[in-house]
Amino acid sequence: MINESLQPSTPERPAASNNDAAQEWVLEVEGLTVSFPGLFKTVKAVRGIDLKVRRGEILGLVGESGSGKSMTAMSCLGLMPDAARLGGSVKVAGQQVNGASASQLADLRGGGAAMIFQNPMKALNPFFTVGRQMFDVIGCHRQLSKAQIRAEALNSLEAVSMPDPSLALAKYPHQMSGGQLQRVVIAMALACRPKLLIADEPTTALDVTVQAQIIALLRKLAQEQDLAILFITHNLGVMASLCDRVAVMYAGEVVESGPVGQVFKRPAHPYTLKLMGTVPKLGQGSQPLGFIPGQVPNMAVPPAGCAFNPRCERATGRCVQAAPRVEIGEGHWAACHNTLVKV
Amino acid sequence: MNNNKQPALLSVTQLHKTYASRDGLVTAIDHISLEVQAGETVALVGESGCGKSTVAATLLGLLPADSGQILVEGRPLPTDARARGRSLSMVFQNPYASLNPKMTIKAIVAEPLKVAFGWRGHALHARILSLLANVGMGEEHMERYPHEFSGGQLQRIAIARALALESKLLVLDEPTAALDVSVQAQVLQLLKTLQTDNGLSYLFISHDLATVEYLAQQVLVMYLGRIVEAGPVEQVFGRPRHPYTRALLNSVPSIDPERRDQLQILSGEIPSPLNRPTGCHFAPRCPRATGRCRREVPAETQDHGHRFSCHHPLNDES
Ligand SMILES: Nc1ncnc2c1ncn2[C@@H]1O[C@H](COP(=O)(O)OP(=O)(O)OP(=O)(O)O)[C@@H](O)[C@H]1O
Ligand SMILES: Nc1ncnc2c1ncn2[C@@H]1O[C@H](COP(=O)(O)OP(=O)(O)OP(=O)(O)O)[C@@H](O)[C@H]1O
Ligand code: SF4
Ligand code: SF4
Ligand SMILES: [Mg+2]
Ligand SMILES: [Mg+2]
Repeated sequence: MINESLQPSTPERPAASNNDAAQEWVLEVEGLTVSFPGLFKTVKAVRGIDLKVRRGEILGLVGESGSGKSMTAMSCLGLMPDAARLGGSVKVAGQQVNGASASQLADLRGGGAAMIFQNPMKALNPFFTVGRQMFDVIGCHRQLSKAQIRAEALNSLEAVSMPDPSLALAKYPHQMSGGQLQRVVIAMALACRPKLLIADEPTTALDVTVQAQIIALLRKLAQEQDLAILFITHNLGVMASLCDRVAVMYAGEVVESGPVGQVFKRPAHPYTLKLMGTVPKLGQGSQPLGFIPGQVPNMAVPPAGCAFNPRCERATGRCVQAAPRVEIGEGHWAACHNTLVKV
Repeated sequence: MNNNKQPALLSVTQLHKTYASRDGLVTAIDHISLEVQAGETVALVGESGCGKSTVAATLLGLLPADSGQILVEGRPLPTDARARGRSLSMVFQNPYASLNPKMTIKAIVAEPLKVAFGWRGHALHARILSLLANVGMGEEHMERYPHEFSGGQLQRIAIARALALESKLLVLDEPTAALDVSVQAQVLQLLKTLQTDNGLSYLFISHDLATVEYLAQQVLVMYLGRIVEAGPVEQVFGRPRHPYTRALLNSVPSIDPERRDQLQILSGEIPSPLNRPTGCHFAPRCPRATGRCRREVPAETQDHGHRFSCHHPLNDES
């Protein structure tokens, strides 16, 4: 935070006093750990990660299935399964989330932060119409008249390109396709005007044209309304198009982080490079795809040292020791003994 | 179409399917025609709700079509589900939902072998082993249950089961949509190898255009129940003639952050399938639309195996 206030001010972001700088961070995660104690072994899902998201900034979190992305996202809103043990600190808009009481958490989720999930059915009740659920949610977060609530619901459905918004309000969830349901959930979250939006793979079920619209919409909200977004996705194309900064996760740790342009142009961690190689790219025809040999480690017994070690082609003897954080460029670092980019 | 050649492996003519719903009749597929040749991959792309899964379901006989003809090697598709299975089999989008959680992997793969071919005992065991070997799995996986596997492994098991029927055509409904990028690459590569080794044909349903380009030779672009453009992948993606195809291609987010501002955003409303516009269905969102587009359904133009339905096609050099 101290570093932050020392940074030169830009015309768009007026010089901040120490106090304002503290408020700039909508999300601050420090040394977060999440584990699931078991009878015989403890699954260490998240192993000490740091993340920060500023007002108006979009941070992308990417990594293979099981790397701990969802657990990280859920701990930001205090939505953890009962079995989970949490360590470290999470603050949303300066407010401590871990250790907060149930009513404090409800306030947080009501006013400051909203989350959208991969599976929209999780967020909707099958027994009520979409309209009723949207009105309830908007009504309990914002002081508006009935007509205003309805107008707000229609507006936000339009913003997510729902065909025939007023018809949509009258439908039950099972009467809509997966893509349409996801748009309802996004519209519902946005209608509450949160400061922080946590989105866990929300566009996976959508088509490219709608996905492009949602990308544009989220970028606009970040720019114009200072919405901070933590965006989780497998899709590196979405990440490159949407995010300002990215954090690459592997086995419960962030292994590389930096401005999106730098990380995609000069990936420094061998895992980031491999991940980029596995994606089929339009315009490359049927060129063979890269693949990552081996499997994601068992998180009850993660490998010693750098967790990518058993699958890494660059691994050397010292990789069995914890990898140092290597500074690659401004705000860009990678945790690796043998980074791809020489510094 | 081609009288002197062998009949296509799969030939679908004027297939039509509607659903009755409380709000009216939904035309899910509107008189579509397509062909799949032996050893070839044909991709079906289009937006959510445009009717892709309905095409798959009618082909497999899971849903009756309203009208239209489905021929396999020139003969009508058998009505008996078992015999049909030998011509076509299916891999679904979600392996978690399509595999029975209470059955072992061995039982899952054995089921179609027993039902369709009456395999038993030692021969059955050997056949299961060879099918699992095809997808990179083995003896040690046979007694395990689906929950003990990752999504990519489960999808490989689903593919092994589909291969069990020895059908010539596999219908793949978004087979990698539920998978990780790194696992997706493995499954795509597996599909390609299986095709080369066994001469399989695929009808590959997807909305990921880069994946389509990787796997398919032919592509069909569908919009609101109609095929609006079709042809060889290099032609359709390299020189699209229909504005919707162009829009799809321009909506694919690039992995290069410098190209993020080239992302095309379509304006206009997506019409509801209950209330499809007269004329060209794409007109409400099309930057080239004219009065004629809103009145008349565009007829199909043929251009060297590349067909498209548009009044004002792109890349028109004639
Ligand atoms: N209730 C639980 N008990 C034990 N382990 C769990 C539990 N929930 C999650 N885990 C483990 O925590 C790890 C991280 O899971 P998480 O859901 O955060 O992964 P993810 O990165 O979101 O993956 P995906 O891309 O598949 O959604 C996984 O190894 C998972 O098996
Ligand atoms: N049982 C049903 N009753 C009424 N309408 C249906 C039914 N099943 C599908 N539809 C409608 O038919 C249309 C085509 O659906 P289909 O599932 O074939 O689309 P799709 O192209 O596979 O979409 P997605 O990409 O989302 O899987 C949609 O508008 C859908 O809402
Ligand atoms: S620390 Fe070693 S094993 Fe880990 S990514 Fe770097 S080179 Fe590979
Ligand atoms: S027919 Fe007209 S509206 Fe339809 S795609 Fe062509 S130009 Fe656009
Ligand atoms: Mg997850
Ligand atoms: Mg479908």
